[in-house]
Amino acid sequence: MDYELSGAPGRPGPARDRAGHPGPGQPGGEWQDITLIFRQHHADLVRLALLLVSDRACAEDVVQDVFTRLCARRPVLDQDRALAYIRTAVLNGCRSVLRRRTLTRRIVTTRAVPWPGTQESAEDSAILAEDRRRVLAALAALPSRRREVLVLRFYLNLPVAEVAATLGISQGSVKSASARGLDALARRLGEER
Amino acid sequence: MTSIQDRLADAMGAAASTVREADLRPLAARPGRRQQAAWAAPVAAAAAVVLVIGLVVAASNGLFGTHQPAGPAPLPAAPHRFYLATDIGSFRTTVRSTATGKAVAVVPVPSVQAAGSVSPALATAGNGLFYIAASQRGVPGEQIWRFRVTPAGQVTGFGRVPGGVLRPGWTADALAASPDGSMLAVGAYYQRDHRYHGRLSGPERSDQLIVIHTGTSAQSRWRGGSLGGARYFRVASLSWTGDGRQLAVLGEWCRSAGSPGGEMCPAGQRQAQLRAIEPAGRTGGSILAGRLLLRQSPRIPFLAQALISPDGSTVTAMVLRGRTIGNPQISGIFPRELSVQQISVGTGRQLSVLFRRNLGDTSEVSGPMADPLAMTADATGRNLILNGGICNRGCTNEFNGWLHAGRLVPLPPSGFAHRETAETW
Repeated sequence: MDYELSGAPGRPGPARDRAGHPGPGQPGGEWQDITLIFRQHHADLVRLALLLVSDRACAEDVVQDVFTRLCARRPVLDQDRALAYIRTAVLNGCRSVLRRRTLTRRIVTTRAVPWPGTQESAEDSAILAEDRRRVLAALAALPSRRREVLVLRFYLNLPVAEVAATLGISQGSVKSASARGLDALARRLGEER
Repeated sequence: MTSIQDRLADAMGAAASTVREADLRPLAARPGRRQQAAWAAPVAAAAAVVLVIGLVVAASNGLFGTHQPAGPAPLPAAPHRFYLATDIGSFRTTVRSTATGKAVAVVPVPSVQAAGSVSPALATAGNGLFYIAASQRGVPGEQIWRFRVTPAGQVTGFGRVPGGVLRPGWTADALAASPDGSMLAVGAYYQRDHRYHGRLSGPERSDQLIVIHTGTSAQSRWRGGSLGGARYFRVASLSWTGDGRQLAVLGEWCRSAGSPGGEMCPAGQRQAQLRAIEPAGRTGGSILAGRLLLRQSPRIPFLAQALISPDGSTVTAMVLRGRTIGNPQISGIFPRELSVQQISVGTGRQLSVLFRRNLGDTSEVSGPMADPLAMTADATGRNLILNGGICNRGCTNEFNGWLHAGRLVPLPPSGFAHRETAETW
């Protein structure tokens, strides 16, 4: 059975940035409405999970689990923190997935290419796709904390303080994990930072 | 932003853009718990106790007409007490009990890098002698190591194989040792700096077969060449005859390569042949110059793995047929009906079918996998370990075990979603 909140997918959500921050004119009070959050952020959260688990189906499962639990428990969410709360739940779900399956860092970085190609065409597409795959594979090979920090910092463009709050670590830890993660990526990709 | 940050943001943005709202599944609810009356739980517990007592009494009185001891049916006796498994997910190689699956020893690969240090390449020469490929921090080129496993499962004599260093950038993906340990065959692929692999047309795009002559530390190098215009080559499996003269190489050739070594060959392009070469005293050559033992054909639509018997008379082949399944972007594509067959080298006829399995619908396969189907034999060639990592949603169709009378006796690690494993005994 499907929850009611999946029933109106056609309605476009209000403008928002990649991090899910409300766009201009979006009333903050709507955050507490799980239905609205689902409609507005389902895809964004799946994208976030995808970058962490490198697997579309698992990413969808993680986000589904989070919303399923939210629907079942109906927690009282602080309207300003609802999205952060859900995002943290997604991160935890991703960690559980990774813990269960212990991803193959080596394979990700070498033979198999878990990421689909882009829609670009011709030779540039092949080269760019290959380069992106290498970057994503190197990202997937990082320890989970560093990977999470890099995704939150450079995909969601969250400020350090918000990354720290989301992950429950200090801002100093965020900075060091970010620096080390970038260093590791640069080393793996044969690039000087 | 630095260049690496730019590249990271670009790559993440591209990956994320593949998720489109319209394609997402709607939220599916789990079945909710029914409302229970307050008295239901204690009554159910009491009923369960009564039922258990009744069953125990009934069993002790022989009411079920059986006097077998309780517990699961006993497993067949394993042909070897221990097997070795490299879990690429944890980068550890362990000696495990075949009966219980428990790790009894860890192979002490020294000073390895944290990731990418242990190759999915393990081999046995029999008599407790094993080989493994692993890289060492600060040392360019992967090294082949050897060690012994005692009858009690302990690892001794861990050391380098003479001449066992691969060229920088090359990584072992398949390994086979001649029975006397004088020659080691290594299927290797080039993994370093393939940022612009799409433009390379050189030998780096194909696997190489390297034979290490341990007595002289010399290496001979064998190439796949081009088969019917398919010039991307990779080594799928390696095995030696018992006299150590012939090395059977299962090669895959493809017209285009989605990744280094020609994996993820598009449907209809993959060609596979099992060829026997005689590396002793040779400096290298073309694998296609070797004797043809078996080839992919309408009768053998997908030759996934193939091992030659010690006497060289038969091939044990893992063959796939039927409807093609899989995800070409991720795991490659595979016909869904798997069988392990014994085939006569002399006549090409099928002698017997040792095992069958339906791989199921993996059209929504996910997860990184390189060699999702593997088959290993012991030195006798009779005892096989089969490993399948094709993974559907939820990864319920993976398998790992040793073959006994047409059935698979499970071996840990089970539930090894997305991990590549190498095993031998």
